[in-house]
Amino acid sequence: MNKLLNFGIYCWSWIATFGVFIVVGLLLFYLLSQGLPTIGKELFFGDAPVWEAIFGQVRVWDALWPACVGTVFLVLLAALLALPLGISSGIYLACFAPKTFKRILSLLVELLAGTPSIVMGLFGFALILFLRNTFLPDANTSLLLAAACLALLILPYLIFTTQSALESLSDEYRLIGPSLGFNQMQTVFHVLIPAAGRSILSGVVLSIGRAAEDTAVIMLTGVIANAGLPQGLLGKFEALPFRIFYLTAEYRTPDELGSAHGTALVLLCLTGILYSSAFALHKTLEYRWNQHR
Amino acid sequence: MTQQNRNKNRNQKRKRINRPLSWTSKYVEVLLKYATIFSALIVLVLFGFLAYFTLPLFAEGQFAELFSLHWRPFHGEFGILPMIAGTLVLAISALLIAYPLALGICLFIHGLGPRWLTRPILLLVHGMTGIPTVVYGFVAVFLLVPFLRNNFSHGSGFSLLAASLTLSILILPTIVLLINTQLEHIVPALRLTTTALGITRIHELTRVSLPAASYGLLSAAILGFGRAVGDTLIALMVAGNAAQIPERAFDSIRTLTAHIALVVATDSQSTTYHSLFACGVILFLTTTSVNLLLHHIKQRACREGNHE
Amino acid sequence: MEPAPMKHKPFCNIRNLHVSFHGRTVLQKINFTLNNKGILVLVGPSGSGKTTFLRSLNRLNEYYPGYSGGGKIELNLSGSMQDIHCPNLELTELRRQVGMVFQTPNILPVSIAQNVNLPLKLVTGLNKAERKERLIEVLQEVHLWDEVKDRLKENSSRLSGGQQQRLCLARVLALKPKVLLLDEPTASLDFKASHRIEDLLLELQDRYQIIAVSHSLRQARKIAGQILVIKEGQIEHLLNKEQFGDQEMFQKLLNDIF
Repeated sequence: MNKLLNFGIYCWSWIATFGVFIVVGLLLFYLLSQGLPTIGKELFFGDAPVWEAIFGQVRVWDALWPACVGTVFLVLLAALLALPLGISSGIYLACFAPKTFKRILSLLVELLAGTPSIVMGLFGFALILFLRNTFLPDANTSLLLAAACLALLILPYLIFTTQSALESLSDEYRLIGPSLGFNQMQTVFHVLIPAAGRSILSGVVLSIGRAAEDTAVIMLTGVIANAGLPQGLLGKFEALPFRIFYLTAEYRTPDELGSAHGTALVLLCLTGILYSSAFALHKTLEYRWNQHR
Repeated sequence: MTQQNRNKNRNQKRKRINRPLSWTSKYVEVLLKYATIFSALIVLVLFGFLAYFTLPLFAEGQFAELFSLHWRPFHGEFGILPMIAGTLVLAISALLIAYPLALGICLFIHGLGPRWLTRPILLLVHGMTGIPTVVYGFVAVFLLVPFLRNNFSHGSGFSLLAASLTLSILILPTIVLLINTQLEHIVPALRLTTTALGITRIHELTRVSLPAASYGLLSAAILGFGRAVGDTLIALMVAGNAAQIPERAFDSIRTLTAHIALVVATDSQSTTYHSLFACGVILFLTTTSVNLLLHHIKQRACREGNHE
Repeated sequence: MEPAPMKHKPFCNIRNLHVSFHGRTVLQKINFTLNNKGILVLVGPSGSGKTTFLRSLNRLNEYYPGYSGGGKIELNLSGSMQDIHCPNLELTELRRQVGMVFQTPNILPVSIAQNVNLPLKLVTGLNKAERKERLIEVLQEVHLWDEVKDRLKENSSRLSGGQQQRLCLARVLALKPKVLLLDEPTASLDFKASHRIEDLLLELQDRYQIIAVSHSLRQARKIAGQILVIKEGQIEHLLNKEQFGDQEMFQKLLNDIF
C-alpha cells in the first residue's frame, strides 16, 4: 500500500511537471503559429503610409501603432511617477528606518502590494467621480490618471526590490563605509547604492514589465479602443493589452482576429524581453559577486 | 609647523567641510522618510476613498439589498451575492487545481526528477510569471473554450471550468516559487543526513522535508488564493459573466473583479456605482486579510526559527 | 612622514569593557593597560570574541543590531590619551583615526585609484592635487605602486586577492590613522601573499600602532611584539616576546589554554 502511494506520488510529480511544460509549450506554439504570419507593416500601420503614421500625420485605423505608442507613454509616465517615490522608500526602509517604524511601514506597503489591480483602477475612477463632484466638473479618465494608478500598482515592487537589493549586501560590505569614517549618508550613497545598483535596476525593469502587461487598471481609467495616438496627458489612449482584450471580445472579421493574434505575440515579446533582461541583470550581478569571493 | 599645529589645521579644515555635508544629509534623510510615509499611507487613502463612496448605501438603507441574489440594475436590484459566490468558487477551484500541480513540480525539482532538468524547469516557471495575464486569457478563449464546447457539449464553453483551469496556470508559478524557496533552504541541509540513514528520496521529501516546510506550504496556498481572488482578466474573458450562483462546472459565472470592469464599461446610473464600491471594499478587505494572515505566518515562522 | 610614537608609552587603557549581542555576552570584564611594544596580536579559539574586541576599539560593534555594551576605552590618538566614547569625539573622526582592514578584501566596485580617492574626498576634503599626491604616497607605502601605476583607472576587482588586500590597507593609510585594526588580514590569501602582507606589517609597525587578529600561530609569532590570548570573552594571557620566543614553551602554554 505504502509502495503504491509512493509510486503514485512519483508519477504525479512527472505528470504535473510535463503537463505544465506541455500547456506552456502549446500556448507558445499557438501564438507563434497564428501570430507570426500576421507580423508585418500591415499589422502595425494598417493601410496608412509608414513614415506619416509614425510621426502622427496620418491617422492609423485598425492597427497596432497607436496602441504601441500608448503603452510606451503610459509605462514611461507610470515609471516616472513611481520611481522617485519607490526607490527613496526602498532606501529609507533598508538603511535608515528605526525598527518598529520600519515594521509598520513595510506592512502597509505589503498591503498595497496585495491589492488587486482592478481595485487600483476603481480608486482612480472614484477619484474622478470625487473631482467631478467637487472642484473639476469636467474631470475625466485620461492617460495621466491611468499612469498614476499604474504607478500605485508598481510602487510596492520597486520598494521591495530596492530594499532587498540593499539588504542582501554582505555585512562586510556594509562595514566598509563606517570603518573608513563615512557617515551613514555617505555609506549609503557612495558604497551601498553603487554596489546594489544592478539589482535595483533589475527591479525597475521588472516593474516596467508589470506596468506594460496590466489591463485591469487602465480599463477603468481611460483606455479606449480607437483613440489613435495619445493626445496629451488628459486625453484618452490605446494600449497593447487592452487591444488584445477588446479584439478578443469584439472581433468581427478574420482580419481583426489575425490582428489580435499578432498583438498578443507582440505583447508577449515585449514582456519577455523586459523580464529576461531583468533576470539577466540580476544573474550577472550574482556572478560578479561570486567571483569576488 | 609642529605636528600638533598641523593636526589642528587639518581638523579645522575638516570641520568646515563636514558641517554643510551633515546638513544636507539631514535633509536627504527627512526627504526619504517622508517619501516612505507617503508610499505607506497610499493604501489607507485608497481604502478611505472606497469606503467613503460606499457610505451612501448605508444612508439610503440599500445595504441589505446589496446581499440579494439578483443583479437587475434596470429593476433596481443590485444584489452582489452571485459575484461573491462566483469569486469564491473560482478562486478555490483554481487553487485546488494549481496546488497539487505545484507540489508535484516542487517534488520533481527537489529529487524525483533528473537533476539536469532542475534548472530548465525553474527557468520555465520563472518565465511563466512573465507571460501577461491577458495573453493567458486570449489563448484560453481560442484554444480551451472551443475544446470544452466541442467535447462536452454543455453550452458555450465560457464557464467556471474554463476559467479555473486558466487561472490555475496563472497562479501556479507563484505557488511553485514560494514552496521552492522554502525547500531550497531545507533540502540540502537534510539530504546528507537522510541519505546516510538510508532513507529513500521519496520518503525524505514526503516525511521530512515537506513537513519541515509547513509554513511555506501554508503561505503558498494563501498567497495563491489571494492572487486568484484579485485576478480580473481571466474571469472577465473566459468565465462567461452571467450573474448567477454557480452550481455546475459548466455554469457561466461572474466574479467581483469582472463585475466592476463590466459595470464601469456600461456606465449606468449612480446607485450601481455605489454597489461597485461595495464590491471594491469587499475585494480589498479579502486581499488585505489574506496579506495580514501571510504576515502573521511569516512572523511566527521567524520566531520559531529563532528559538531553535 | 609622521614621527615614530615613543616606545613603551601606554597607548591603550581599557576599564571594565563588556559587550553583548541580543543579550548574549560576547566580551566581559576586560581590564588592561597596554604599552607600545610593536604589533599586538590577538589569538584565541573561534567565537572567543577576538573580532568583537577589535571592533569595540573603533566602535563598529554599535553598527550591529542587538548591541549593548559599556566600559571605558582610552586610546593614544593625538599624543594624549583620549576616551573614545567621549561625546566631543565624533564617531566618523574616531573611525578615521582608527583604521580597519577586514578578513576578505572588501574593495569598492570602482577603479583602483577611486578606491583610495573616494574616502579621501568624502572624509578629509583634500583638493585634487593633494589627493593625487596622497594616492601615490600610500600605494608606494604598501608596495603596490609599481604593480598598478599603469592601470589606476582599471576596475579594482581585476587585482589578485593579495593586491586587493594591500589596496584596502592603502585606502586606510591614506586617511592617516593613528591605529590600525586588522581582522585576520591574511585569512583569505595564499601562503605567498600572506608573507608579503606580514613583511609589510613589520615595516609599518613603527609608524602606526597595529592590532591584529590572527588565526595562525606561526604568523602571530612572526609579527607580534605582544600576544593577547582571548578565551570565552575574557583575557586569558598577555604574552611578551620572551614568553612566545621559545617555540616549545609557547606551544605548551597554548596547549594549556585551548
